[in-house]
This record gives sequence, C-alpha cells and structure tokens, in this order.
Amino acid sequence: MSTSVLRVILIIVLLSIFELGLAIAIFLMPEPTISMTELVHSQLSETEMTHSMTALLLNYRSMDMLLGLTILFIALLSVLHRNDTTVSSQKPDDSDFVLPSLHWILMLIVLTTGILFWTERYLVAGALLAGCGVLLRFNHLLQPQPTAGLSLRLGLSSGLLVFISIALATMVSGYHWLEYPEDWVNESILLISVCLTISIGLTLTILSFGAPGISWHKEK
Amino acid sequence: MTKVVFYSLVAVGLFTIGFYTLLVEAHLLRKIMALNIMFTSLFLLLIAIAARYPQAIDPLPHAFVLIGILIAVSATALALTLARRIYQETGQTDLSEKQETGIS
Repeated sequence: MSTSVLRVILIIVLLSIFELGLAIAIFLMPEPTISMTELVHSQLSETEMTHSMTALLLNYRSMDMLLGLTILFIALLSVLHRNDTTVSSQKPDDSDFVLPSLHWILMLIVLTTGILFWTERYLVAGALLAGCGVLLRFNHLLQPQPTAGLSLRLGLSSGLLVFISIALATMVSGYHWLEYPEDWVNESILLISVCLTISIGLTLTILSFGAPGISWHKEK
Repeated sequence: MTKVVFYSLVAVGLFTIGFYTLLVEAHLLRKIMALNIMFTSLFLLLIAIAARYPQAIDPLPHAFVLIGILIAVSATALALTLARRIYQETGQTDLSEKQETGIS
C-alpha cells in the first residue's frame, strides 16, 4: 500500500478514537448547577435595555464584545493592506446579479435596518448593512478601489475607537473598566452601538469585497 | 437520548468530519470550508448546552455564539486573503511539499 493510503487510514483510526473520547465526554457531562436566566432577566431593568441579548453583549459581556471587535479589526488589516494592483482594473461582469427593481429592495433594507436599530438588535443591523453593500456591489453601484479613503477609514475604525475610549474614560474617572456610570448607561451604550453597527457593516463589506477601498459608481 | 445529548453528539460528529477534511484534503479552499464546519459544530454544541434547562433557556451561550460567529467570519476572511495571496505568488491552490518557492 502506498504511504498516502496508510496515512489516511492512520488519520481515520486516530480520529475515531478522538471522536469516541468526545462522545464519552458528552455522556459524562455533569448536571447544570447554576442558572443564569433569572439573573439576566432580573437585572435587565438596571441596564435600561429591552432586548436581553444586546444587554448581554454590550453590558454584561462588553469585554467579550470588545475583544471580538478587535479580532474583526485584525482580519480587516490583512485586506486593507493588500498590495494588489489588479483591483482598480476589475471590470464589472455582465453576468453579475443585477436586479431590475433595486430601489424597492433598498427601501426595504433601510426600513428593516431602522426597525432593527429601534429594537436594539445592533449586530444584526450591521450584518444587514454588509449584505446591502454586497448587493450594491453586484448592481455596479459600489466599486472596489486600490486604496481606502479617509472617510472609509474613519467609519471602519470608529467602532473600536469609541468602545475603547469609553472604556478608558470609565476607568480614568474612577469606575472599573467598562462599568458604565449610572445616569449615562443609556447614552454610552447607544453611542457604542451606533458606531458598532457602522463599523461592523463597513468591515464586513470590505471583507466581502476583498479590496481595500470602496467608491460609488464612477463612469469609466 | 435527550435533545441535548443528541445535538451534542451531532456537533462532535461534525467536528470530527471537519477535522478529517482539514488534515486530508490538499486544496486550500476545502481546508477553509472544513475550518468553517468545525466552527459551526462548536456553535451547535454551545446552543445544545444552553437548552439544558427545561423551564428557561440560558441566554448566555447565545451571546457567545453571536460573538463566535463574528470571530469565525474574521478567521475565514483572513484565511481567504492568505489563500488568494498564495495563489497570486505561486499559482497553485494547494499546499504541496514538492515545490519550494523563494518567497522572502
């Protein structure tokens, strides 16, 4: 038998043992002792938010959200500094997904984003904005560019910058890191979440395009 | 077998399938897709664990899954950028040991 077939058989055997071990661990899982649900829902009025998931993400677990944003930013850096000279010469393909009734869909997207903002579902609104960006790309309304302009860079970094500056401000004025002051909870969370939505939308759009910059449609 | 145990076993199976594909397949895009399957299996495990309370579902793992999805998207984007760069530099789409290129 050739070495590659032997290698595959060895991998299959080892992975089966690994999977068996994991399955046994699943059966040996201990019963849960702590229930966070009542705690989360009882403290919800203190966070002045109506949606428990956003309160979890931006208040109870804001440090995890900050770290996740940092990871997104690091992945963005790899795309922003692409030294690719073929970006500006990417001609739009005629077989791209062009919609005849785009303005209706854009209106629906704007309406849905507003509703998501109103009901405090900020991450979903950011993802919807990124999908809208990809849709505009396919309809030749957004073009990829070889470099990112200033306003784009400001939009991309605003989420992380605002988050970190609010965290530093709370630490400097005597509270703990990311412990919002009592009368400023609503305003600070709103500020963070607006910049978060813009930042996540723009970041995911740039990650989907693969090109460092965006511009509106120019006549070539 | 309860719901929680069933979905956890499915997650374990998915993880192993993704791991196997990551090790065996040579094409870079398939490795990246296998990584995504491994991420998804972990999210399934987290959500299954959240359903262990019959009265009230634990919302904490749901928040972790949301952040995890963000991280999975970042990792996939970075991996795809690197794969595209490898293709640009060497013209091949798999990590074979035959050719050593002089990338400094």
